[in-house]
Amino acid sequence: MFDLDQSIAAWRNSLPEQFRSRIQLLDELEQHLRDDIDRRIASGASPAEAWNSALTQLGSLETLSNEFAKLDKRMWAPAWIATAVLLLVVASVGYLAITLRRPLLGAHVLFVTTGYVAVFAIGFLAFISVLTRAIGLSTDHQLGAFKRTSTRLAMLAALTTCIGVALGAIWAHANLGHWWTWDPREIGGACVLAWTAVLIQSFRSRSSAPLSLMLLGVMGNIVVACSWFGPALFIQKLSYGYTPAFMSAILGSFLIAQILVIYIALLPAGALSLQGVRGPRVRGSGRAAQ
Amino acid sequence: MLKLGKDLVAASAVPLVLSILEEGESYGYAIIGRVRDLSAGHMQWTDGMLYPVLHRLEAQGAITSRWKIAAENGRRRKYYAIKVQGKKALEEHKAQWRLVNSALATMWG
Repeated sequence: MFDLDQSIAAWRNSLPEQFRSRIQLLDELEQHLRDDIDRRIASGASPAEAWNSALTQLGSLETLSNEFAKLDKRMWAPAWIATAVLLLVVASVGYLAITLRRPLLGAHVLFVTTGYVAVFAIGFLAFISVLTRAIGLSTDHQLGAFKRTSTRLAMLAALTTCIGVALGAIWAHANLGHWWTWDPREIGGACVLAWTAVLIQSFRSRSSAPLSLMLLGVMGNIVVACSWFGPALFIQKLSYGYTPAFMSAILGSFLIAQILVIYIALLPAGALSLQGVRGPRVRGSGRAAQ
Repeated sequence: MLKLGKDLVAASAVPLVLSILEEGESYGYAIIGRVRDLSAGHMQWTDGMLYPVLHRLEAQGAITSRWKIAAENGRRRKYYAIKVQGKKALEEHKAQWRLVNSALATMWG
């Protein structure tokens, strides 16, 4: 006995990898197939015949995939912004590092800052993705660009943070007589490094859901903020000239904002839309698109 | 049946989609059906190829989309609607196609 829902589920599972991440497109194609099948059955075809004819009429998925690959080459505006800000910060810190006239320490500051800001850049992209999802404007292109850009940023963050932490250890050994003392800054660097490993693993995984990646990106903001500015709450000389109370207020506000973003992320897709737009929860497939 | 060339079908896809959406919001399957009706069956698209066109137009800001429940069967469908930018683009397409049509009509009497 032909089962349409089973056939559609098998069809979705058999699609090539490049289609798997295009959840909204798959939902749209599935609806197209269901509409076509309904029309063919109404015209007298059996369900199995209607299914086969509808699939043929849909055309080659390889050709379709190639067409969408062309669309993916367009850059996502927030990715441009994140990249531009990252470059600006790296250039500024690089200039300051040169003026330090202490090459090892300057290089350590430059690499660590680049790594931390790269994780913040992922957090920014995750924040934009959470917002677009919440207002129901999330697209496959945007989700794909978020994943691709964040993967690159996570790799950059891991590499530069690793080099920065190593340079910091070398500088500490040369100037303070020890490699590692579990200083709050060192612990912070290790935490960020560990988090970049989590990000790389998750963003490169084929099975990671877009929403999970958004949450990881936002949580990266928390990890870096605590690692970078947390020590200032306990050690006056690390407070960048501000009082611990002021640093506490800024850090606390930032962390509360991140929790708010996580809350928004956990709302159903389209929950904040003014037009009542909802994410594509497909009848029959029994799951939300994101 | 008159068979249209692949290039002509591709070139006419955008103005056709924009023209159909100018009539009112619609979804992929209905747009294909409308094209079939408009051309009396002469224009046969491979169904899947409509979607890259729709998604490209949406990325360009010519059309917008939203998911909503279809009244007739309760299914969620992605509906597309033309935007102001799309209407401007459609006017340009119309001018270009009228020019081509006029030139060919003049040549062929």
